[in-house]
Amino acid sequence: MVFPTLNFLLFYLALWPTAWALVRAGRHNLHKLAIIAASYFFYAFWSWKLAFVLLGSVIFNWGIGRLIGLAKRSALRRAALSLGVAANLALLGFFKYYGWFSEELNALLASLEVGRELPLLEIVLPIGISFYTFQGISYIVDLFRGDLDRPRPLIDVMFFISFFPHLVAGPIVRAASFLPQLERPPDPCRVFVSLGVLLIVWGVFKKAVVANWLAVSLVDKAFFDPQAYGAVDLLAAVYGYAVQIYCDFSAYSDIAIGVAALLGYRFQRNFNQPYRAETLADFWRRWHMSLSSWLRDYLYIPLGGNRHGRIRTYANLLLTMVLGGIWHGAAWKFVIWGALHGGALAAERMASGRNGAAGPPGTRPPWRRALAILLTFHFVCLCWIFFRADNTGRALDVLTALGNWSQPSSLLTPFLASLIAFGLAIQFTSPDLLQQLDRIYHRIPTWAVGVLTGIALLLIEIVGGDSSAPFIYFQF
Amino acid sequence: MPEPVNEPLGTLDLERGMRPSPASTFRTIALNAVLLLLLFNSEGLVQWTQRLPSSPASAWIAERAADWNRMMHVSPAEMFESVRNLLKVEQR
Repeated sequence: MVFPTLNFLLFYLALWPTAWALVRAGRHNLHKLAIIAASYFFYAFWSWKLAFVLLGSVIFNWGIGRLIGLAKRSALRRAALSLGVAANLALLGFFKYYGWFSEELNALLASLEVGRELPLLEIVLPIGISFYTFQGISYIVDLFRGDLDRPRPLIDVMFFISFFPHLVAGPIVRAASFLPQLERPPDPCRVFVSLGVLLIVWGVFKKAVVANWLAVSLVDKAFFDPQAYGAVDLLAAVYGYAVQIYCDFSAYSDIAIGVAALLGYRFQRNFNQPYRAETLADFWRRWHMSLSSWLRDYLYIPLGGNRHGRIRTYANLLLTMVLGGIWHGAAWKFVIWGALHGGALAAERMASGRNGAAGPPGTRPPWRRALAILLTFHFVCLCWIFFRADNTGRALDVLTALGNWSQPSSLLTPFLASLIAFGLAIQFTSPDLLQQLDRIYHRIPTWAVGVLTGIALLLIEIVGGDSSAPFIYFQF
Repeated sequence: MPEPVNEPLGTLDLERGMRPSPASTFRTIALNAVLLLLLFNSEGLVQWTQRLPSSPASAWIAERAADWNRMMHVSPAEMFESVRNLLKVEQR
């Protein structure tokens, strides 16, 4: 089930009153069960069989959590944690990477003229597996570290991992921050309704109007056959993809946060105007924040972070980002994307060590800030070429064709150019725009908010592209 | 990688400075918004019913959606005419 569709609207309009009625009736566990059942129904829309993989993952992580909680000796706790993390990674590895690994290995064996081959299996990738596996790891690691005070009952672990707003494309919710919310029922008198409604409408707009139009009319065409287009179209397609992926993925996160907020639950923010970043480290504090902070806390810091000298720090940065790249998918293009980011982060850290006097971002003169934003954005765009292209060969085709300035533009229209400009302009709006809109929301009658919401959705329906196009991050 | 930030995750940052309301206000908002969508985007409802898996229930829903869509295409003049006809019948 995709968020901005009538299917989802009907599903949510049935669930929302049920969930709150159960809270008002004082049936907290039934409230949780209703949301869990709805989450599995939501997931089963793609495949009911693969819902059992999700269920198995939940039960396994709950069991490991019990073992960690019951074990008195630290060696036993560590063994349970290692088993849990290894099994989660094995599950992810099998479904996501077995096909790629076996193909690459068989090609290598064939080139070495070794007669043995790994069997090729047709494996269906369970949607959202990268997200729910990371959340399972978050549960057992948070328990082991003591960030979570005790193992939680199965119903809470099930709710935490399977909760439908974040289930298939994040944000990656952390156990230590989400599970305490399940101890008490949400308060029906204190719900961030304005936040929920604003984020949902804004998310639907970004997805249906900006992302879908750019994808269909510009980016998909240019990346399908880059040699057929000139530099102007390809440059527009690269900028267009930067805007498309932001508007697509941040739209999903906004709708997820809004949908959860209306049910009384809180998620971590996932995007914060990433293209206004002045450095690459700043970019990663603003882009897919739930993944970058997950990688930092569960991978970069356990690897040693910056505690073992400069060389180890650079190596840790590179390794973390390469693994972050591979998390997106089993392909060399994601390895290159991660390595480019990791290498640039290491270089940036090296340079900042040498030029300590330059000062932190935000304290530089305006022209230097503008230049830094421009450079960071263009480096991110360069990396997006590898991320978006079907394979590394196609990415190199795009880079080569970017030198072809003699061919006139055949894709870029004023409408598409204005969408790109809009997508970049929203990076520089006031950071407290939501708060300003909230003040307006509280000044007008609730029925009028409903009418305005309806009008906004109708306008989006008129202007928008195909609203049922899947979100980019569903494939990860 | 960004340096660790001493801020709890699962954060209040989006909600900072925003005022909560009773959950029931969403009911009013949703009702008004859905009503508007039903009135002005009845065509969307028909398209949705066409994508439903075929079954007697789906066929029934599709028929009702088509009826609703026809009703929504009635112009004010047509509506006036039908009221006049209705009154004429009663006068007889």
